[in-house]
Amino acid sequence: MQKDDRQLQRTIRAAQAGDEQAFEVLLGALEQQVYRLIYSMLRSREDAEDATQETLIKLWRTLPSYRFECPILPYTLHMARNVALDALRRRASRVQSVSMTSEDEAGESEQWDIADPDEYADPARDYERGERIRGVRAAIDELPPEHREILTLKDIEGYSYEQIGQILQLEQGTVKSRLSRARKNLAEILKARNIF
Amino acid sequence: MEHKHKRACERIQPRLSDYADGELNKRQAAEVQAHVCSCFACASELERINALRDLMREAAKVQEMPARVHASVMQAIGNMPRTAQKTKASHVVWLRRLGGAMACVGCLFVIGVAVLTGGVGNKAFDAIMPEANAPMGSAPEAADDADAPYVDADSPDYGLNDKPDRYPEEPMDPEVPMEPGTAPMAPGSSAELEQPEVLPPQASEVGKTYTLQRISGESEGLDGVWTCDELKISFSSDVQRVKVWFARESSREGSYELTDTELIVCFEEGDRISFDMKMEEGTLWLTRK
Repeated sequence: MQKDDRQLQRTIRAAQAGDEQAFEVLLGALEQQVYRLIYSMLRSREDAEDATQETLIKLWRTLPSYRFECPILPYTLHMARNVALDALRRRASRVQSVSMTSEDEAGESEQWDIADPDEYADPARDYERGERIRGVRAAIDELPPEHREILTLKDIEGYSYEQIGQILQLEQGTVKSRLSRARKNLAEILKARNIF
Repeated sequence: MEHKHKRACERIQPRLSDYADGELNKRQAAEVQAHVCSCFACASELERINALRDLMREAAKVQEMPARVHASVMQAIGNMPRTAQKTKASHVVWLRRLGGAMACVGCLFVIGVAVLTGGVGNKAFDAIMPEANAPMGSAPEAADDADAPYVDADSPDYGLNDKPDRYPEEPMDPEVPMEPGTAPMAPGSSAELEQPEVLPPQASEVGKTYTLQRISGESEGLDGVWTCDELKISFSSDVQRVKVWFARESSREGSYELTDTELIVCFEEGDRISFDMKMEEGTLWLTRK
């Protein structure tokens, strides 16, 4: 583990010095987590891809000022979260603006990417399980962004309360209570749909 | 016996999530484990928690980041040497120093006027530094504000020192044209570079004044001197923090978080620029032609 940490530190330092190959290695270790967190908040592939790209470019730009005060993953995820929040604000603005001119267009352009029916069209997959997973995804989509975010960090990424507190800048007690509310909320939606 | 078991359930059940999350210490975990082995209800609840988490993980599996994002990032950073960033940052530092120097001169002048007229400095200050035009001179106000967040231009703070951000709860002011390209630029905004662009205050931004001026610029980087259009951004000193967000077709995009009252930031033709004020103050979109 320590060896891995040292290796990671060397990679970060090389990337800080401008080594693009080192940065690419670093990206390999971070990008999926960044994308999943952003996707959990934005629920649109296109927006998530844009925001992920913005975050990772920002990481490259700001890496020289990274001082190893906290691990690189929470540092990057915090950055990703801010980028996603900006995107949500812009989206809120666009929805408002467009709805003033054309409600149909607004509905079309801002419809969230809830679930792609083709994603589970793989015949090798068990149909019922696919349906259930699709139901879970749709239920997650119904949650407010802060609940989706914390469920992603805990239940999907498996971070500790402490790590989540670092990413979201919240007290551990708040992390715990928010997580509890998010799970309860999700469970209620799933129960209402007879999924769980 | 049954009563004792019920009390044990009441004590254990709130900890089941923590147990499933691996957040209990060894002693607490052993206690929960022992109880779950002998309690069907708690075992079922734990099973339910784990099953839901497994389903969520399964649902998340399809959300892998497409490889093209990785490729785009690498391409973008290849096209964007850090020297350009440093050059932009040097503008900011230069302006900050210039702003400080001008502010000192301004202060001395104001004090002189006040002494000569025997009046209050504020009135004279208002007269020589109208908010709409010269926020640079108001730099001391910002500097005096001990609570104002300070962001060093050489090491922009996108990291953990930020105050926690909030989720947008409601759409912003409907009167502000938000769609890119719909924000009203001043007449002649796409004219010559020397032509200043003055953006009128928006309805949602009462008390905020912006002055945008396009100037041509040259920046020196390791890869040589390169020319770009620059946008001078001035804003009133009571705005403590402004985020300038930009996106461009060549996939170079990002944002600058600024605390100075006057800055020059380098943009390219076709950039889509927005000023992200505090959430409750709305967002302003501009599209340059």
